[in-house]
Amino acid sequence: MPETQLSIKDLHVSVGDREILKGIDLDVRGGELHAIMGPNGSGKSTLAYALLGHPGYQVTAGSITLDGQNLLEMSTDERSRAGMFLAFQYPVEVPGVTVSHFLRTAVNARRPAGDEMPVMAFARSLRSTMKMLEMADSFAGRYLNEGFSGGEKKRCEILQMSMLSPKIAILDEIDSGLDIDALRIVSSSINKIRHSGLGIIVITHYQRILHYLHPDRVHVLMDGKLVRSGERDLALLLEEKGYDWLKK
Amino acid sequence: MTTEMMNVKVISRRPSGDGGAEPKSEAASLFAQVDGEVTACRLCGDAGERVILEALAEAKDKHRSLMPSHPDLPEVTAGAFLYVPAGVKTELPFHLSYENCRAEADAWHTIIVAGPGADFQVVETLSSTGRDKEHALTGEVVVGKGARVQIVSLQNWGSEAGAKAVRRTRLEEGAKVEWVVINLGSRNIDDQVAVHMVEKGATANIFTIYFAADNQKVKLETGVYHEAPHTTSDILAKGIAKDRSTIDHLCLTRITHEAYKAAAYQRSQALLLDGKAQVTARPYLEIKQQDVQAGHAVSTGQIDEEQLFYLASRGLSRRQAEQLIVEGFFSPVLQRVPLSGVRATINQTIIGKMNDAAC
Repeated sequence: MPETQLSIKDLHVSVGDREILKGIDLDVRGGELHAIMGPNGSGKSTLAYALLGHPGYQVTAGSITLDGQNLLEMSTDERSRAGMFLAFQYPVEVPGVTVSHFLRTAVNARRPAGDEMPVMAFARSLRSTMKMLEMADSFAGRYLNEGFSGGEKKRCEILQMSMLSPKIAILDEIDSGLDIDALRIVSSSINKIRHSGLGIIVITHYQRILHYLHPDRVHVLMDGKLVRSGERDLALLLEEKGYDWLKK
Repeated sequence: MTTEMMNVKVISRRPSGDGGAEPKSEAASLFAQVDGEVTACRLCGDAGERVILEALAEAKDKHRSLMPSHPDLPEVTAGAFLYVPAGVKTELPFHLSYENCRAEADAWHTIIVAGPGADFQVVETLSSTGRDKEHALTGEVVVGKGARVQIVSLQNWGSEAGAKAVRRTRLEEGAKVEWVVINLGSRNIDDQVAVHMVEKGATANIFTIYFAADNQKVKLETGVYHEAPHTTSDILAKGIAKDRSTIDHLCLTRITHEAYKAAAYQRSQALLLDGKAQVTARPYLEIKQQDVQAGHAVSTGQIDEEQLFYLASRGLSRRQAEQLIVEGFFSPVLQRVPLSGVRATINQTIIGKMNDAAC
């Protein structure tokens, strides 16, 4: 299997006539975990949405490729099927649709028509994934994100990520709204599904989740640009000194 | 008087030239009629010996005394009479299947009488093939003291049909009815569902879904009449309007002076799949007693773009995402339909209507 590589080059993104991202360069390979940190309004979520092709975010310059394929020419669902995944900061409720039914539809959407996963095989796969992530069986029968606690929503995102086997996963503030126990559970779930074929971008305000995830690279996003990149100790430095010292 | 109806009675006459199979009914009791001819009539084991399920044409003279009082029962062309005596409870539903294969107008009439303490479900399916004319459906239901009845009615007449349905229900003391009315077919449909709670402690639940496409016109009236104390009603109407269709839903709650401690709630929710479709929901509350609780909620909107983006980010095409959202929208009502074969027909029809381009 060829090695996964996501390449972002000189990416400029606008919302309306406001430019939010002003030239981002980033390469993520399979097996790597990159953390993108930055203050509010620096453009972190914009990067996440732009990578998945949200219609509200216009790419005005630059390129995004996944294993040489031009993602900018693809719709959001095509990008997903090509191997991109976004764990949402605010997962969306879909009333009346169970987690299980939704996941089966999503799993089958990435298989050729006529080669849908048999119902029993899917049920087994879902059950064993939920077991690995220490989720109760009853979770599969609940309506997607409806009435979920903050922690349940984030765990459901990780469950989806695990079932859909992406090549690149962007986790947008997966740690927001979690208490310390939920944070530990979510982090350990992420660690369980890390493997050499999966590149991960963790977007976060705080370095506390990085205690558990051990990023290979840490990048600081400020005012639409990656202003500093480094090893894990950069996150510790940010924790100690804040972001202001980087503005100079 | 019901000995000939004991356990199994199958009449296998079919209209000439019709090679269709009898509807799949999952071993439920079945009454099937095609173009006025009875093609199947059988009671399954748990229905008991005293249950009557017969063509209304025969029953109207034979069992007149068991029926609701009619000054003039109209000329009945087709339909069934179901009588479930006191205390009889069945696990499996009674399936009434009405089919029209001719291009002629027809009128169907269902009469259901539940004796005190009876507890059962009825699934009525209406379909037609060929070029349609006008269809009429009358449903009359009497639920005796403490009885519980669920009636699912699926209207899936051909897309050329004009149709009118009137469903009247009378609830006695402590009786409960749950109507699940599903309107998918016809060019124009005018459907009235009315429940009169004439004695104390009665409960009426009405769940209804409709899917209007092309130039379809749906006129729906759900009415609950609280005429005795401690009566409760809950109405949930869920509809989808696509293309240039129009929907008009009148939700009527009437509480008389006698009906103290009544509780009535109506919800009307519509999803527009196209900017040109029109939905009008008109809640109408007429309350003559102060010691009651009554409320209504109306919502009309389009599919949320953020839901579509979320589902797209999981690899679902726009069409798949819309289908899933629509399935979820209808599911609180559809999951109340007891026969899985009927549920599957409903799902297929909905998906078909979603994927049909507008004329």
